[in-house]
Amino acid sequence: MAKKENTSGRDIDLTSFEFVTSCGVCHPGGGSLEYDRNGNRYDRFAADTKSGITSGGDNKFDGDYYKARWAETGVLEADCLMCHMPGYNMNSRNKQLSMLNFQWAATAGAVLASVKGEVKKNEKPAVQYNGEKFDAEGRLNVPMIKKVPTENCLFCHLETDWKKKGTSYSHRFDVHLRAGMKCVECHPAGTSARDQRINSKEEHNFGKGDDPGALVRDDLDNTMITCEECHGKGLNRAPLMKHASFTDGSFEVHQEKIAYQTCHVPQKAVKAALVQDSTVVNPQPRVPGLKRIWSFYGPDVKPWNYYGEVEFAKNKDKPWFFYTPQLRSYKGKLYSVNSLYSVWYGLKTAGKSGLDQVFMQDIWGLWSNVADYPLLAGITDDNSDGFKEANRAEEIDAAIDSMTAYLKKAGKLNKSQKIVLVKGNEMYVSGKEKVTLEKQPYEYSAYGSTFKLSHDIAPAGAALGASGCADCHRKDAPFFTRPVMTDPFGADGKIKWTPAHKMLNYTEDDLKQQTQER
Amino acid sequence: MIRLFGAAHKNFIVPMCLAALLSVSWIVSAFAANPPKAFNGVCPPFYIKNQQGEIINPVKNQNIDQPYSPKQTCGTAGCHDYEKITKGYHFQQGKDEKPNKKLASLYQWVLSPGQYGGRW
Repeated sequence: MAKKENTSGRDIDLTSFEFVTSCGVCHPGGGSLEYDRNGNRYDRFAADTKSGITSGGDNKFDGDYYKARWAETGVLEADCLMCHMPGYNMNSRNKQLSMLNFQWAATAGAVLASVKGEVKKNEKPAVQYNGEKFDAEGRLNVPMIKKVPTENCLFCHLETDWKKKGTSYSHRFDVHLRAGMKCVECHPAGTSARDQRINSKEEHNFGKGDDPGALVRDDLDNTMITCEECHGKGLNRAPLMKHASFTDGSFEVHQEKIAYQTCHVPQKAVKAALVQDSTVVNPQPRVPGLKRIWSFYGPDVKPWNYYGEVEFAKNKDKPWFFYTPQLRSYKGKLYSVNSLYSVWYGLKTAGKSGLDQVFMQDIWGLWSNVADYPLLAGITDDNSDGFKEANRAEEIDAAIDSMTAYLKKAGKLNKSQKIVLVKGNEMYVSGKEKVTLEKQPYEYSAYGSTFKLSHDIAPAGAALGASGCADCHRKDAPFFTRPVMTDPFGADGKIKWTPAHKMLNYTEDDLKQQTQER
Repeated sequence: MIRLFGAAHKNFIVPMCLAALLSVSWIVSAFAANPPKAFNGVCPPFYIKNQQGEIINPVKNQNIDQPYSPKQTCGTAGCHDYEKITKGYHFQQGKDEKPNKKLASLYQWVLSPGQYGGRW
């Protein structure tokens, strides 16, 4: 996202205006889609001649108004019916966004009217209301529901939670969905919420968990309904937990050290992205726009055309792929997680902490002009998995040198900046020189998110421990010994693995203790 | 019924009727003073409005060339608190927050902890 103040177009990647067409396909309007960073409503500020805003103009490289056409498109107000109307047509709404018909999107999404014409083509959209949606007095009379239907939540979460967490949201794999529960039973808001931080009339901050990969409103972490509230106290008439197989009285010890989800998400049925590489562009069919810069690898560390699959198979037909999720320790408890290993171009600026990143458009720009950067031809598919990767020292140098040359030519690299290649928690200054970056024990890198897995809950009989201690504690039990990836492509091109207990920083003595006969 | 309210109880009938009437009138007056806005969680049929807050009425052909405004329709008639609702994190996407110190020190490009200017 571009900053509010910039000195040239070269500083700008995604503007607030572009945020609507790219990210607005999920976001429900209001807030960042209605008001600029100074609190002005975009369309009114742009239409006010005193503001000096020109439609489609540079507008002093303001990240909110650069090349934007707010006065014609209008804004995306919070669309109540997107969540509260069964049968809302999300595709129809999003089609309006792609045509830059922002203020018409809510009307089309609720199917109140047909909308013809595109602001994008400099047309004024025409509206024709659907009389069936109104009563004899002309008042709107459509189905609405206070408790948001699950289908409406999934307009957005069905896809986003696929790549991040491999969530199926299917009755086949989620015991709560199979029981007919809605998302808002566990993630309530308003007067339905039990946590006082979010309990008030019209409050729309939904109960949330505490995910290391999601940092928005961390002050509201753990406001959702917990497993204990339902299965310990019987809320929502849930079956009370028994844990009868813990005949040795060890349940409390497990409860203290392991999250419920760890045992009750013993297996995943839909792929999540384990690796995201944006240093080498690999041709993949059906991937839209700049998303082509990303090469994803699935939980098996094999190339995965995620966005192609989304386009091809669509969200509701997520292919099944069975695997055991990773385990990580977070805030003193063991969780099932998907931890992302990222490989990317960083921008190191002298005297500044942390890293900046190269714009997506520049990564695409580099790889769209391979002929101008002959070093790129030296980056090959060393492990014959179908994706090229920069793993050897000379390949890493080729990637860094080519990107440096591209950005210099584009005037986007100043003297204090240097391109680095970040792979997991190693920052390569060159193919032969690297710096190990700090990270938390639950992540591969501070620049790769770790997501806790809390959906697709298996029934009690399928949980770890349902067949007794040996599920996890037998000698050589996979729970502690199965291989976990530590590097998707080492210098020799091969995947590097380590046993699960080492990933959790257990010593050999710890392992012996955990896997002795019981 | 007559037998139930026989002679032994007839002296109570008039006071009971008066009490019932008073109760009804109290309920009606209270209702008039505080008309229910929530309608027990069910929105009644309502007029949609355009960006200027004017009614769009397809039956009477009023303003039917304009899209409806959710803000004017749901939020301005006193039914719903649009400003409060849109302070929720689904709407702000982090725009109303600054990244914490650690996040800011690691990610030079991050403007918020949410999706709006956040990390990937």
